[in-house]
Amino acid sequence: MQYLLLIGLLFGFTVQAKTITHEMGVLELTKTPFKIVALDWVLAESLLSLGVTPYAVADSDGYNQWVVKPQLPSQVKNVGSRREPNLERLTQLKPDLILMSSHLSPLYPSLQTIAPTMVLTVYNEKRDPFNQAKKILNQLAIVTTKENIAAQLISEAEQYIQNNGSRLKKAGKAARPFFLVRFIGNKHIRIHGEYSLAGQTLTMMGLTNAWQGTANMWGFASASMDKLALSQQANVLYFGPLNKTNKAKIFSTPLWRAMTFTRQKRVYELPPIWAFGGINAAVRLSDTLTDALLTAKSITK
Amino acid sequence: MTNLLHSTHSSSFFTKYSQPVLWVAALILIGVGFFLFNLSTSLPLDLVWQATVKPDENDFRQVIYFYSFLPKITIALLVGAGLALSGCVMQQVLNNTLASPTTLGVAAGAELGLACALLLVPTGLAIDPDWFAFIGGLLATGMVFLISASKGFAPLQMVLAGMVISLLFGAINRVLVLLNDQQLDSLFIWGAGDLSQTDWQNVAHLLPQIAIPFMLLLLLQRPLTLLQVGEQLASSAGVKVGAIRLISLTLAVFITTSVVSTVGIIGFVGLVAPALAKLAGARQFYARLIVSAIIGALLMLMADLVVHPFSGVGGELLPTGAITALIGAPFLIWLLLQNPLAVVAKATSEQPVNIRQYAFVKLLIVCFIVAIICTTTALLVGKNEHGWSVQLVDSMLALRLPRVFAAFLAGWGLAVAGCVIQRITVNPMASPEVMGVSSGVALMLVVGVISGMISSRGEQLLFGGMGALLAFGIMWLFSQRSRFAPTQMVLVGVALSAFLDATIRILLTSGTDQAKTVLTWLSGSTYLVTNMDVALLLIITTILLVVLLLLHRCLDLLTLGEAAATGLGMNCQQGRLWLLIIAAILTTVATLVVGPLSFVGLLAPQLAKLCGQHAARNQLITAGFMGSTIMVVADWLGRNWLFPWQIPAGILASIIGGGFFLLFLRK
Repeated sequence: MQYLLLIGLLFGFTVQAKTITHEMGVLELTKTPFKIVALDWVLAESLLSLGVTPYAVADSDGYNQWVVKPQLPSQVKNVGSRREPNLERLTQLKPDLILMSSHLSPLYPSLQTIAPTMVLTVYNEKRDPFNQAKKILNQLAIVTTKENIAAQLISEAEQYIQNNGSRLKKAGKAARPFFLVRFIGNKHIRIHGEYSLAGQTLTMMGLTNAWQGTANMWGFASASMDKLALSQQANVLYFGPLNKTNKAKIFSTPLWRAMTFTRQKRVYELPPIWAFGGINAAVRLSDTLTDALLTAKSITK
Repeated sequence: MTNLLHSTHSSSFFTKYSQPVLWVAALILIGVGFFLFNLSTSLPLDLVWQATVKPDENDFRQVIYFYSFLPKITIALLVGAGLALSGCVMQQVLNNTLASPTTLGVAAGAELGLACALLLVPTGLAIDPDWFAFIGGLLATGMVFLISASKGFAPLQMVLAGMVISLLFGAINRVLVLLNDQQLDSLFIWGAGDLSQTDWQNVAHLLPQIAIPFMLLLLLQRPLTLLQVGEQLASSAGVKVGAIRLISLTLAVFITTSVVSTVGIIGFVGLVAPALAKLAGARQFYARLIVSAIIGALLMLMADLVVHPFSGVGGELLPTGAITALIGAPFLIWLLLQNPLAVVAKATSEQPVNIRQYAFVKLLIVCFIVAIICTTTALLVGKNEHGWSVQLVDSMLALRLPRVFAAFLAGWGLAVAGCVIQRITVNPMASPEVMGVSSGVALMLVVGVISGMISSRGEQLLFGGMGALLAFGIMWLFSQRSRFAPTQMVLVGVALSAFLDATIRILLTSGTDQAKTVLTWLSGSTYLVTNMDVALLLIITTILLVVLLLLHRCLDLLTLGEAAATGLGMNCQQGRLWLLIIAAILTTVATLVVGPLSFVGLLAPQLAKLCGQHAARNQLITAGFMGSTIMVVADWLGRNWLFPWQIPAGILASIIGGGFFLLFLRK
């Protein structure tokens, strides 16, 4: 930390004042903020992908378990739950900038009294997470003076996702539709629809989403297991982590075993990826999905 | 403490024709059921028989039908029958229509057990979480038994203990949920009672667990029937009342935990089915047992068939169990209005237990000093990165002041509202929480938030106030009929609370952050309280407290009972109405701040009484101090215990308050 400060002092972070309009107001910046607190994981992820380490994050333990990458350095401080970030703690940390999503909108006035606060939301009624994620990445880049990194990240990400799609096409693995699910207990699933981050990643790869049903604002639908039967020609990809007990339970039921995709071994496990993340999560999803199909690492049961 | 209980023998139109009406209704139900059955299986009729007997594993429609649809139907029937059975037995044994699997805390215990299994057991361990649910359910029931043992398992005592334990376990459960929201998604779905099946395993598991106790209960039917005629008579006929009660209740509990651990919490079937069986004219106990089981099974099946086509619309599950509660609660209230069931809840006349008879002034000084100490501590002592510290910084005080004072005032308001309600209803178990007033407020607020109609505090007050008045309105209807019979009153509370609970559960299955935000608020967090809120609370609570202190004579007279009060020249109806409105307002403003869960309104007036403050004026003041102290301590603990994580004050208050209350119940 001190080391960074020293470098900061040497090079002088001073830039001319910036005025940035965000979802709930205007942010006036006289210098590049250094101690940034992210109250939403997608904002933490975006900061990290720009090469900026947040000073503190809400529920950092949860981040390490669910988002995993980009990795959160261990010195990042924890400010409590994502629904009720601890205001006393925030005050003690004296941040230069607080980042929040509109889900916490009632909190905006209180946060403003602690430090300049910026409201950036990826998952809202626009139902366009990938483009929203691009937008907030650009805004964060302006604030942290990383504009060129953001531009590069975004163009690379889109290129990358499309490339993964063509690789699958070449290998002849892109014809079938895909189910992207997370198992909830052993009888239920969440299926990611067209306007979830996962669904949009599929679209960008030129693949088809097997779920054509309705979904909520976050882009997923909760359903019972038999809903998968509607489209058994699909490949099924499920997000990890899935514990052993549930794995055994889910994959041994007659219903599951009778499904065509099970018989033809087209069920794949993905590592933990934050399905409500940003650009980085989308790239990781497309990577791991492509790897799973190309190496044909279907789970056998 | 004696309660005036009126068992109404109404020979109204409804009862007279209830039998044929019910049979016709049953026939219609079966017809509709068949129609829905055909609707929800995509299987051509000629294949149904084959799929039922020997499904072709290669025809997927048949596989779905045989491994998903049929087991689900079977489970629905089993669950409905099981819950109705245990409800029926509980009602018979406790001689009281209030008794049901939910009101004895069994369901809440099972749910807590499962939450512990999901969170505290390492994933590699191959212990079935169902066992934990089972142990949790048994634990809850054991506690109910233990608490009511000293009172010889008095019916009212048991139900009260059950309700308190339900709320208490529910609160602990919410703490776990709030601290581990990501992992508990499956628990939400389970808790909401979704019946989806993927094989016959659960059916095989559940069938003997319901069938065997059912057989045993049929063997016990003679002594159980005798319980109906009264304890003395039954004893003289050679029935070991205590033993019979214990055995049959244990069986009922066993059925309930099996059901709950398999499919989660199913609202109301255990309460409604036996009531319907009575209406259908099943007078004998064994007949009622069987008819209840049949009605319960059919109700559950219908609920599932009706809900099934809608589940998944808008990307959200509609869990059958929670839906039954949504339908069940209004139904129950309607049923009571049609025909106040002859409720005989013998409240054993309780002599007030005084821990110590303190003089009012002495007690007041002690309460005041304790309150001052707690409030100062809550304001100045907090945590930072390095642990505990005393912080006299403006920025910290600015954050803490509104929270501490909101907790203080809300605690005060609830305690006072509790005093008023207990006096009006002449019922020591009444309180804003138990009577469902808090639930009414919360319910309207949730509805408002979800439909997007609420944005400002003013609107919240309006909605919340409507909810409180709605709850009181329903209670008022009953008071006309039953003269505030404790059972009837608490039954309304149960209905409203269950309705709220079901709404919350349905919300939570969606797993969206919005739902979890609502959950946080419902748990009674002072997190978003502003100075404006505190000012509002202060003004309203103070004004109403002054009004109540001026009306103290009226409050004192009410506890003497209607006849005495009227004899002393008091207009009871009008006095009650005004007092109820005051209690409603107090509850509304407090609930806005600390949520519907707190117990302070139940506990503080009781505590004041235990310290010998029976006069209205003294009780109001001492209870107020006690209530606010509990709330402030709860808020302070919640803010610092797991720093930087925060636990809502309402939840902690209900854990502290519930724990205390259970201790007193034992005395």
